[in-house]
Amino acid sequence: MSETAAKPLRVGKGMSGSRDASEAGKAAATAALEPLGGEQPALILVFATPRYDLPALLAGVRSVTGSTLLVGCTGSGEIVGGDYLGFGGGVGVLAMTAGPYRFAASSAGDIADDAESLDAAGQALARSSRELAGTSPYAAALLITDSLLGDLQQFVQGVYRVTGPRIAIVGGAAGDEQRFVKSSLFHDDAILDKGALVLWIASDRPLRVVTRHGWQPIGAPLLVTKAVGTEIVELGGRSAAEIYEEQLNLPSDLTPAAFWAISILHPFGLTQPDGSHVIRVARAKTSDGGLKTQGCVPSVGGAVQVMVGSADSLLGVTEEVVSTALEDRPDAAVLLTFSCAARAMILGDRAPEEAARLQAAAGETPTFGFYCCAEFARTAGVMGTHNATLTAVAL
Amino acid sequence: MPDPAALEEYRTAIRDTTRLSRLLAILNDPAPVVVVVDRVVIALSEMFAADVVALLQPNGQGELTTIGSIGLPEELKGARFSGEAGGCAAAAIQSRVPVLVEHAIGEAGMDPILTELEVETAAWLPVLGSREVLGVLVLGRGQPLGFSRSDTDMMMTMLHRIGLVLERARAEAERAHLESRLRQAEKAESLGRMAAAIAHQLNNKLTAVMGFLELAHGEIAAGRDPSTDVEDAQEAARDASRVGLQMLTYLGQGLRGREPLDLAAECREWIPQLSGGLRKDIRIRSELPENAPLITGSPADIRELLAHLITNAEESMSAGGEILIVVREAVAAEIEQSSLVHSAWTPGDGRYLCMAVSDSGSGMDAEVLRNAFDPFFTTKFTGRGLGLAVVLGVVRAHDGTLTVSSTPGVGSVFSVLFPLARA
Repeated sequence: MSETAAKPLRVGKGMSGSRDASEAGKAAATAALEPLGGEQPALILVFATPRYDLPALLAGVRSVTGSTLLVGCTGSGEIVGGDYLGFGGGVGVLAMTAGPYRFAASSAGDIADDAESLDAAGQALARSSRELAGTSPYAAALLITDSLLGDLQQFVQGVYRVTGPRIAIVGGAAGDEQRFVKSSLFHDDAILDKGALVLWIASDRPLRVVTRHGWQPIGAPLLVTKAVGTEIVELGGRSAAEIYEEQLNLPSDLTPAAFWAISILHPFGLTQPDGSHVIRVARAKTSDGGLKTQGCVPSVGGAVQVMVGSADSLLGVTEEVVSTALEDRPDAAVLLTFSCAARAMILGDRAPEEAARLQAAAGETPTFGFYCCAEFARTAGVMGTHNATLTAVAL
Repeated sequence: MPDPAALEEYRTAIRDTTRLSRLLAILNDPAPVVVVVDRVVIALSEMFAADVVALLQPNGQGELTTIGSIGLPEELKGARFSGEAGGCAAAAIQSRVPVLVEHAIGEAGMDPILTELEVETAAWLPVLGSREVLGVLVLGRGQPLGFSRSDTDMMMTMLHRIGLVLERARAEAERAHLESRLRQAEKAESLGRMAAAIAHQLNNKLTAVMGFLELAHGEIAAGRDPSTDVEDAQEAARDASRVGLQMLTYLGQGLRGREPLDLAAECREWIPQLSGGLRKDIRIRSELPENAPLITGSPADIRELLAHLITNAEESMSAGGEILIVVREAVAAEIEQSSLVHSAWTPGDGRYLCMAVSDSGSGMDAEVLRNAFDPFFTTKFTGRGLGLAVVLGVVRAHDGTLTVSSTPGVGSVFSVLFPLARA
């Protein structure tokens, strides 16, 4: 550890939009390794469109990176430097030397989506990845999960039971470009379905997670009186969908597509003690008048507010995220970023602006990340699952 | 447009009401105390953005033990909070009112556990029973955001209810004590089962020996060569001897010659040979450092230990998968007491060399894990059930220890820790 601790972290990034999965993997990996100047990478991050032949993509990357630890997933767009790869855009690869860190990952597939299983999986993967990485004064647990596993906060909670507050928790849920059918995780040569992984980043210094969203509350707070799984069934004792439509003056007969087009612009915010809000996006109405949310729902007894935002307000947090993340670490070698797929959808044609502004704010520090279906960032208390946010950690 | 002040007042009222209703719903749940306490601490952590929440109970020795917590990392789960006079917990117990601490880092009386977790603000709240203070609820934040009076007023409202939970906890602890005694009785039964299994194994082998010798006797009487029957008898006798040797190993009395040993080098030598016999759908990967510190050990025993752990991992992965073997340095502080296989072991101050064997197999539930290292316990159709018992014996004979973490459906990690050789 002491020998590697003296070495600076070196990173290289690559991307490819080739339609040939194998060629795309090789090209992005080759470009990522090149800046390392022959130094051995310790970690490879891969974020890609789900449209690829994933085994061929992974084989292409591994043909270049060999057996170096690899983690990643499919998403809903990638952030590579100032570039934004939208839906179907391609693959981004980040190669990192160990520098002052030690990396280790543990993963599991086919995880049951009930609360107990997710909590247990979070504990088990945090424990085993920490075991493999070894002890250190500080660390970050970078989580990547399937977005279709149910209440992802239960997984975060399981991880937090093992880590406590000195270990940063950050990451994002894999996606499939907003189809919500199947997302995939990568761990070395394996492609995991219904999976989760914990990448343990052992560090001698604290690692700080930053998350911001740019949404503002409107109207009166609402009380969650019934919630099941990832569905808010009732607000204030009435149908959640009815109350939501009432607050926004929406007709009750919107098509699912029309409802989604509006609800993505009006997520719920859970009020926190410091006045901030944790965001939850209502993805669809259910047949019984409930609201299906993305990732996890507020607990019964929780107060929520309908939020509003605009492309400008969402993009407006970008510089603050970067400056706060780099505040303690001006010598950072890379800024890992996790933005929400919903943000990209809201931004529409302006989506590339986010990646460009991230990189402009970060200056010489390369940025790398993907668009998630839930962002993980534990900053206060046990709650660490978010929607519609921009999250970052500097290494 | 509603009046902003009125709206804020309404928001606060709604928030407090919902906090109370949520906590009441949890506290009224007839679930086991451990579940209720877990839900309470998680709810409080969410509601008050508290990084650490712990419900503590005095243990009669000037300390407080944790009944339930969130935010205490695993290595601190068994740690005891200070109940000494002058400390925050003692002040809350004596005064029977909340003790609030801001800028807690470096503050006199702050518990070392919270200091280690870099807690900036903390609230210590006495849990009042009908006659006495039953415990303390502590909430800590890592950011300089103090708990408000309305926060603590609300929490105090709930503390009587939490007191009832603590009284239930006491009753359940008493029951747990009785169950522990029952488990001891079950262990005695397990010993009986083990004795019967040894007798059965040896009897089988000796019956075979006697049978072959009788056949040999017949061959001699008939003037024929008895060599084949004598060799079969010898093989059966050797088999019986192996059972005995493995039992001695389990008991830590079968240690072969010890010498300074490079564990990573031993793994490098043996893993390729041992992986040759694995199924084709099993991959084996290793992370073995160069120039790792030496341990004192028996190469033959280490090889046997490695073989049993690999076999165990392979058998747990019926659908194939990967076995990962990592050798690295470790310190006593990171050894999780809750995962120790033999809980009587206490860590010294020294450093260790850890060999972790992980698999992505079926994992073990608590029941299987409790018995996994008992001799002759097996969940498989074949085998004597001595593999993990031998592993434990080898570890004990090397003055080491063994931790296991396992989750059904996810896999298991067996970590063997050997003390480093003395320089």
